Amino acid sequence: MALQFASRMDGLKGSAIRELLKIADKPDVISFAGGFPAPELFPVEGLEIVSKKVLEEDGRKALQYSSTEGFLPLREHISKLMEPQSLKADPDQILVTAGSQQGLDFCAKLFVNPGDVVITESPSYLGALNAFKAYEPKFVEVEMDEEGMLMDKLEEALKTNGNVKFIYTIPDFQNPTGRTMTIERRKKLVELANAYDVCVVEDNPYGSLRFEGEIHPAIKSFDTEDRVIYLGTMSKIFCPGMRIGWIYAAPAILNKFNLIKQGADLQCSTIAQRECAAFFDMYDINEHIKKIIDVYRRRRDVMVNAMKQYFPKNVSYTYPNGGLFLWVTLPEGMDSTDVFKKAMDKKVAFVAGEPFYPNGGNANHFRMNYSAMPDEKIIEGVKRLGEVLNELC
Amino acid sequence: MQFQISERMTKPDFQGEFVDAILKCAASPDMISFGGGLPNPISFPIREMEDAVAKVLEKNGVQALQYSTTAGYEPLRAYIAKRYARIGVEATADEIIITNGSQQALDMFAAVMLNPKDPILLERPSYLAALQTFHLYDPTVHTVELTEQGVNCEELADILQNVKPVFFYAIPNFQNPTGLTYTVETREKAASLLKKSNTLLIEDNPYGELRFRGEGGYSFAHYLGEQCCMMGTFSKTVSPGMRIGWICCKNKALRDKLMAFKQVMDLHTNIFCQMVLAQYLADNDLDEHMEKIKNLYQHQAEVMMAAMDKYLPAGTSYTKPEGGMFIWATMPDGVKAVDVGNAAIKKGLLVVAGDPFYEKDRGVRTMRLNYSNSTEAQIDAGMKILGEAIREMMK
Repeated sequence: MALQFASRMDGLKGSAIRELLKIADKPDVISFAGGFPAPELFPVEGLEIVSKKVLEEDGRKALQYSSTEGFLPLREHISKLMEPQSLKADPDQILVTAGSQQGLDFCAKLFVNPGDVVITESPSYLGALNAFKAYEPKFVEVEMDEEGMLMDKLEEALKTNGNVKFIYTIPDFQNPTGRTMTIERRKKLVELANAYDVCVVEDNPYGSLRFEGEIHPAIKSFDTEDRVIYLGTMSKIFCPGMRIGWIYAAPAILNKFNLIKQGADLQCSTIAQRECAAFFDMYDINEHIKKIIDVYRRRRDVMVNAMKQYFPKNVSYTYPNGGLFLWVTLPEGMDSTDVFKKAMDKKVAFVAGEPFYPNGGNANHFRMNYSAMPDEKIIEGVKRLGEVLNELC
Repeated sequence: MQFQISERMTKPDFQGEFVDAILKCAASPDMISFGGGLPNPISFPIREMEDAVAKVLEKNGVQALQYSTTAGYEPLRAYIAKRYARIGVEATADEIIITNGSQQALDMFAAVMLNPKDPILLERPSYLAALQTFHLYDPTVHTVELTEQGVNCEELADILQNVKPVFFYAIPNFQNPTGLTYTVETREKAASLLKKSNTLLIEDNPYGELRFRGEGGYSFAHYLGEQCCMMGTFSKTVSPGMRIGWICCKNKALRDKLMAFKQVMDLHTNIFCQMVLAQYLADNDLDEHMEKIKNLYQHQAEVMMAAMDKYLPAGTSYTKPEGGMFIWATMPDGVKAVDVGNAAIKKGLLVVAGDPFYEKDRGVRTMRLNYSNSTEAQIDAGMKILGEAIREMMK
């Protein structure tokens, strides 16, 4: 039969990058391409204890349907988890989602008509761009420096574009650049959102993984007009496999998200939510996060030191204070896809930069992940990459 | 602030209130509920699940907690594919996509296939959450009558020819809400009509395994091959709290699109639950477990029908289910099911009036009664309330 697809699917063509990543996904390749948390830090033993408890004490409830908004004790833990970012969230203003990826999909579904404008950092998170693309927006990119989005450029974008639905930003240890937005700019961003009457989607998967310095208040903490939508996730501090994230937003917006969640999949897994909540009851999550931070900080240092040693001088890279990624910039005019091909010959992989720019271009960058690999492998991988770069640059 | 939302979200949603009320009642212990579609928790294999969780975490803990693939856990997909032989379909693991319950599959089909105003076809009445989900994509909804024998083939032929729906969403076994099942003859007739059309059949089958009387028929995929996509779920057989459903799609182009959309929606379904479920299915005999559930539900259906005969006034009629979880009752002439429902809820009983199951009809006389999730005492007490409520409305 001749099948016809919705036009929204046109933007979701299997990307070349996914094909390249498949090649990278071989056991003998040292891959800096993923965004996986370090598996050796997953709390497997704690979960064994917690799972037994949940099923023994509340098995029938754990295996039954439950409410769309999510398990209340879990939402209370989520509220506490956000406190260090100066947020005081009423658990009723939290909706549990299937990872923050589902939150991204919901934001586009709620706001975007075909042709509406979504403002993003340039570059921005690939998974978010793809989720938004399904709703056929026009992307307007705002240039960044080491302190995040440039506010004068943001204002210009707001001034010159009608139909802006929201500004999408990852203020802490941004994916892909690892950069963090300063507190001053966070305040300014809210001011601009107020002035131009647009929403803000603050995606914050890495905020609590800060290696040094003070945790920054979330953009949401400066929100005076209920227009900031905060997305969070358990993926980087607990585990990604259970697919637990959340949306924290004002009631008028959250009610709509609730309705969307009903249509999307009714609710998140009851048993996974209860196990997650029970884990937070029994263990100190902040202790666990500290362990993750110690490991990732060391891995960042190992990577940056190796880059200093092996990369040519005309290649620069960011120095993230947290999170999972850093961003490499090649000399102008170079294409990181060429580097990728050569690197694959030496069995080392990364993600080429161009797909992180919604409107393309900027091929002279690439993203490196340091969270999911032991020190020796990081050094060996960077060394091989350095050989390729020395040849090409 | 006055935020400006997308057009798809500005449409009124009357079905949503009903789903919400049902889910909320599930959490309120004092109410007797014939309203939901909840499996009976006494049927949940808690001990076996405990063993499965322990095994998965011990043997493959890291894999169960890490990111995973969009299609889903291979051993689980292989198990699902193999089971299709029972309803006359050969399927492979590659043709299965794991979803967050079958609800997500509804959303995926709509997202991937529908442009605004595209025609789609559903049974009349149909599953309310399907109506609700499809509406978000702004299609033109057509409906076809459901009779005791299944879909009205004459009307179906007419619609296929004149409206050319993108897809026909049908629940041929123990339909929600009516509990009706297509006869073999109807299946064959409908399949031959569909074959001549360019309409995809989406066959939803959450209750097919819950047959406690009589013989079932083949899946439409047996007749239609890749013109039929099948949806399934473990919600009614093992546990809804796991949120594991699936799509079996034999058409590769469509499957790739469904997968691409699933990936941007939520990357993949909870891998921990997928692995636990696969472990449970490997270590236990699902059919043995199903026998227990079927016996339980058959008994409960009989208790409910006996209570209906005892308490409901003359002029009330109902379908006699051969499986599934629902009885579809019709109120006496001149009595609206919504009014009965409102009177009943004040007396502590939740029922769902037929209205939200219809695209257009309002003030209908039909209502859906769920028998799977109440005790015998609750069924008796609830039916007494329902009888009183109907009598009040007859005055």
